[in-house]
Amino acid sequence: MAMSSSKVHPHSTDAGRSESPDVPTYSNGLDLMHTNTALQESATTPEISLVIDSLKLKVDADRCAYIMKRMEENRNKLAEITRTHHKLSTERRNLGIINGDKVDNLLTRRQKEAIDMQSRVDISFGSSSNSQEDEYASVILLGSGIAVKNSVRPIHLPKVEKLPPYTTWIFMDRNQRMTEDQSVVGRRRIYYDRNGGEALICSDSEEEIINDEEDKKEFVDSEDNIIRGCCLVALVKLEHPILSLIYWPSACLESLVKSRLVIVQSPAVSPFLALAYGEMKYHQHFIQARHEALSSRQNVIESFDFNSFLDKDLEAAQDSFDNLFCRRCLVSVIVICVMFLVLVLYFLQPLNLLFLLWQIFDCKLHGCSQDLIFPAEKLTWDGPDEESVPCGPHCYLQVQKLEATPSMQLNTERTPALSSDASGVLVSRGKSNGPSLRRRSKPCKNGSIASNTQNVTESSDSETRPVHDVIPYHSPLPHKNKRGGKSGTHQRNSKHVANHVVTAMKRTQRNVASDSDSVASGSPGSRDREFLSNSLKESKEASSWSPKAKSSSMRRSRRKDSLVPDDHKSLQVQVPYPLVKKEDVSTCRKEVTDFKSWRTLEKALFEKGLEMFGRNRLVHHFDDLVHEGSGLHISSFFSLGSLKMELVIFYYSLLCLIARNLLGGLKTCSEVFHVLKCYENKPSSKGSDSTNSLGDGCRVDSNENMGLAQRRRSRFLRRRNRVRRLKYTSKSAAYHSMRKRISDKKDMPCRQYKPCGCQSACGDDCSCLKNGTTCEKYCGCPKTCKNRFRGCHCAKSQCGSRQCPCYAANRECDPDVCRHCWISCGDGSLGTPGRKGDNYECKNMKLLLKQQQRVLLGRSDISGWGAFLKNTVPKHEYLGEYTGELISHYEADKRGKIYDRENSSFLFNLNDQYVLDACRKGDKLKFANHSPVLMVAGDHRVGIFAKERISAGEELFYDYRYEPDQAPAWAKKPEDSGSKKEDAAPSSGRAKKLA
Amino acid sequence: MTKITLGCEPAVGSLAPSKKRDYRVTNRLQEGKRPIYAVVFNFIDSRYYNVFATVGGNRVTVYQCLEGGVIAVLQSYIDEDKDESFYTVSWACDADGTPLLVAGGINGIIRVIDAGNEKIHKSFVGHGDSVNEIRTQALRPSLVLSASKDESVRLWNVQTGICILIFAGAGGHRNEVLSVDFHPSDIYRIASCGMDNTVKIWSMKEFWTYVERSFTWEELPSQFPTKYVQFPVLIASIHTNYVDCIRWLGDFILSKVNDCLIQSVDNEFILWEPKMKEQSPGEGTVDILQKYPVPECDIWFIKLSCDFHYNTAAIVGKISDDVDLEAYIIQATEKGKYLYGNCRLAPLLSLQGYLMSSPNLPSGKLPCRLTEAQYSVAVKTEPFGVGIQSQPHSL
Repeated sequence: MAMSSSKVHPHSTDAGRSESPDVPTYSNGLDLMHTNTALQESATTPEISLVIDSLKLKVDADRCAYIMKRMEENRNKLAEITRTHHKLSTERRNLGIINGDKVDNLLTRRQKEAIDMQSRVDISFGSSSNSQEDEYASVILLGSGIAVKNSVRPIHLPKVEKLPPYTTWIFMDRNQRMTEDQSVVGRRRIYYDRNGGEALICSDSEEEIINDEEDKKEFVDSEDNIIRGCCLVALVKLEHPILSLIYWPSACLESLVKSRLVIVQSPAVSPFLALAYGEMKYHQHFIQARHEALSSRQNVIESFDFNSFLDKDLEAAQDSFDNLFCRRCLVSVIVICVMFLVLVLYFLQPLNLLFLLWQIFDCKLHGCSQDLIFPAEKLTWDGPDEESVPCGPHCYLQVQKLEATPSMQLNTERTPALSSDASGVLVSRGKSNGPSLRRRSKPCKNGSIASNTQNVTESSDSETRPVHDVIPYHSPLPHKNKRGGKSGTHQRNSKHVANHVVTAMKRTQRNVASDSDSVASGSPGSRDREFLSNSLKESKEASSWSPKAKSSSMRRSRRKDSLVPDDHKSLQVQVPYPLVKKEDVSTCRKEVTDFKSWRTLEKALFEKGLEMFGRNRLVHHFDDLVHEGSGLHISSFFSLGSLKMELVIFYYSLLCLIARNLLGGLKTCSEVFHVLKCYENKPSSKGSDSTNSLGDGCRVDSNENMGLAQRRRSRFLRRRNRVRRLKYTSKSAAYHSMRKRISDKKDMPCRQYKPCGCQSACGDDCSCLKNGTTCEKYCGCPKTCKNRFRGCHCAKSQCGSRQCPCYAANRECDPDVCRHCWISCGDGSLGTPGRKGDNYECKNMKLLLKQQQRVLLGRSDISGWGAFLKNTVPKHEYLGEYTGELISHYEADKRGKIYDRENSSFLFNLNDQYVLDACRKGDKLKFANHSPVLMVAGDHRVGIFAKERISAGEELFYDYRYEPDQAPAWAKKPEDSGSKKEDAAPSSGRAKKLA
Repeated sequence: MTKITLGCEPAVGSLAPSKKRDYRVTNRLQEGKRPIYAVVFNFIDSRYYNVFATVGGNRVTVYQCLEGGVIAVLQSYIDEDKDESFYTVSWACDADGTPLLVAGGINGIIRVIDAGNEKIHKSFVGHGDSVNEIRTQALRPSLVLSASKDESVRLWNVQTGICILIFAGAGGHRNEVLSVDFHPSDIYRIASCGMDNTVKIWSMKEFWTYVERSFTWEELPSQFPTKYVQFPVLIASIHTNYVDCIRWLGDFILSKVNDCLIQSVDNEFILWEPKMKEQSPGEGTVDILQKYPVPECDIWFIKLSCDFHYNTAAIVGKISDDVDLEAYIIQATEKGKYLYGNCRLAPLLSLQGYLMSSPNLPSGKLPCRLTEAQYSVAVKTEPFGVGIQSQPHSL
């Protein structure tokens, strides 16, 4: 037991218990208390231990009974299984007999012969088969101790050439990060040398991370029972010496037991305790213990409650959506796009589902450790408009027509003004700020309210943002917030907003028809958080004007608050708009309950749908929307807080999309519509202390993700810690690693690129600058950033020499960055972009485009596996990429020790953070030795190029894996290995199978 | 090692050999000078319940048990490659009931022998290193699993000669796979264990279409779209050393760990129940029900096998040098219970009357990991090993 002890307690030495010295240092008062209660303790100690013993016995007995029961159950099950097996084998017998009549089964025949022979032998009293020794007998009987050899004619199995040995590996066409459970750190591996001796290679003892498991011990019922029993018998027994009497098989910390004790007894027993021992000191102690307990419980809650919020399934689903934007997932993007297109065609609806291919550096799947960064410039997609055709009998449009008929007139009255205004906003914005701004500022739209969204940042953003006054009805919306304004102005502004709310409220209360669809929530972009936190206070005031609405949304907001207690700052403002009329409230309630009856996954899908489709429906459709009377139900803006996305418009005709694509078959469109309606009413009216439920969802989501990541990590740590401390042989301790370390010839390894989040030109605090890397297109900074790698401006065919800046910098050209480097799509049948023309293709993008040579695997002429080229390649031709697992240097050191013992190393230094290991994952060029590390699309990758002309069928290199003499060959003659790319990679499984 | 919380401790049994002689030797036989590595009865076809096969060196031999302890040699096969050393053998059969023998060894080539026609049926080349164990799916006896030193487990269709699945990759074993077993009733589930100290439980439910396709595959077997199963449904790190052997006992798993290298008392059988979480594969818990420390077992790579009814499992314990290469046939005294065993495998069969054991090979001639033993031990896997001296410690 690990006990943090410091003080020897007087009474414990008297008692002479071994565990008694372990009394933690408390404050003086508590210490005094210890001495006070010492007498009582020592008196009751035997009692306690008796109780504990009996409780333990009971636990054991329960366990035994449980095991007995389980074994019995299993035995019954097994009996059934064996019956089945027996039945099957009997059936096979019958099958065999049927066939055996036709075809003589030799085994059966021999069986019969043996039986015949035995009876004959018995009759003739002969001893076994000696009489037939001159010839090979068909069957031989063995009495005792007779050699089998020479007895029966052996049937020869023709020799089959065996494969050169290899370890199973997975083909990978691009590098992947190591999954955590593949780490060898902290694990033990035993290596055999050829002489049959064993050597143990394992992690060093210092690797064993300090056991943090105690913090996470989960108490099982039986343990609780024991604790409870203890404290019922002897209430004083919060003291350590007693607690340590409880024998824990799993060595958990005293303090934990203590805190658990408090938890266990706190609801019922603690008042009683307090009464019985009414001393203040005891209270002190108790309170302290409770603090511990609470804090530990807090952790538990923090880590677990978020998990329960969303279904796990959805998280997986979300992964795939988030992947859409990851540069590493672009392949899957295409696949998914195609799938979506098929889906769209299937439903015969022109679905304008195009993904904004923001290139995010890494997605969750690929171990994104940093915040997602959105570049300061990016393209948005202007898609065609879609019509609002009811998608089916249950489409919301049908429902809505019924509801909206009275309001139609009003809407149509309103629309001209709206549209003109909205388009005006769009136009003016486009003029004044250019495309770079569009992404930031999206007009908020509401049925009857305009909300101002001010994007105000502390950053030195050069763009002034226009205020979007969307609704003409509320003319007084002219607060043009200056960037960098003080919070006071914001407060004033938001007061204005609040005023508007009131006026709007009054107005809209007159508008019977419009209440149902009027909701406003302004949500700021990620940069507006400061502003938000200020304005939140204001909007709180505003929300106090709408107590009714607040109460109506209480239920939900309470839940949210409990889940996300501290994310006010990062959440968006909502302009409360409590115009829900009584009937609306009632319907809304109904819908809420409906929504509650949705399954978690459905809910989450719904929210995801809002997020997804809403995100894609950007401002561009706004005008058209306005013109559609029935389509004018734009309501809420969802700030994708966690994703740091911008304001997003959502409108109802997307409901069909959501219903079809995400909740396919689960909910109809109209159901979604209903839910959405109250979904919007609710968050908008619930006041600013609660949060937009969608944004909230996102928020929680992100928190959850973080929590998950942390938990995942901690679980891994725990698992590692579980590995017993190992004993090490001296051999493993000081083994020199012969690891294949190939970086550039310079000693300086490349630095791993990590995009910076600068929103303006990178200054001294830019992470890229600090890290020593250039800024890439994934960075947040604008293109004008001085630290950017600007690509090349090479004319045709010049990228193949050092004159090309990309080439000189060991980079591949990037069509996004370089001016003239591009490649036409497909085989040209789709048409080439004319302006760049000339059929020119950049020669410095081979890795990016995967223009690799066909590499064949075969038996090497010398030994092991060899790699061969299918076609003749000229000098400097790109052969392929060396792929593998991306592992840390630390991990690589550990693996290197193992690999060195096996005389095979697939490790390849990539940059300062990662090493490539192609041992279990890789491609056929696993054994390439000396290759340049190139920077391709933000990644370091290894390309292999021919240094001389290699003719077809020529072996690239051969495996010296099993010839230790040649093992350090790479060290001896790197230029040679570089010229003829050697490869000794094992073949893929299928190629080797024989028929 | 998994922490065992209070109230979840396993019952500890004892494997001390029973004084009562349940079995007696009825016959002994000798096959050449090379060790016998495996012996297996044919549970697949009830015609051949009394037929067993052994492998040793480059030989595969088929025997039959007759009345009175007599054993008949039925067939003998010799691999022409003298370097071949078969480690494992298993019975299988194809669709029309022809008995097949599947053997594998140091060369990594799996030999499928048609015992009904006494000729080679197929040879599977694919494993990159030696094959450590082959098991047959009792419900579909055309499917065999092979565990190999190349860190993979492969699923083969012996009828068509197709490698259907490869269990390796990102979540796979990181060292030799020593043992593998099919779940007796859940056809999708297998378990494997190996020198990376882990036991992995895999599910091929998602890949079952490929299994079905393999039966009707018309083209060349090499054209079959072999799939990689990269992620097991459960990784159990309950052992701290090599896990030599693993067997499903119903839904429980009996696994054996051997810790001869580090001199500790880590040699034990553990009977445990895997508790998978369907929602999140890879995360599951393990409930260790019983533990049997193995006394004086200083060898490893021992396999254990169970009788037809899974009532008894057998392994072989201590090593000794002074006995010849022999196989013992022991007839059980207890009626209806017969035990067959050898150095690595001790299969049990309840129908016939023999226990066969081929222990005691000189260890000098063997690879160090394959050694033989002096006596065989029966473990009854009833609660706390009824019939053997094994009691839970706490009662």
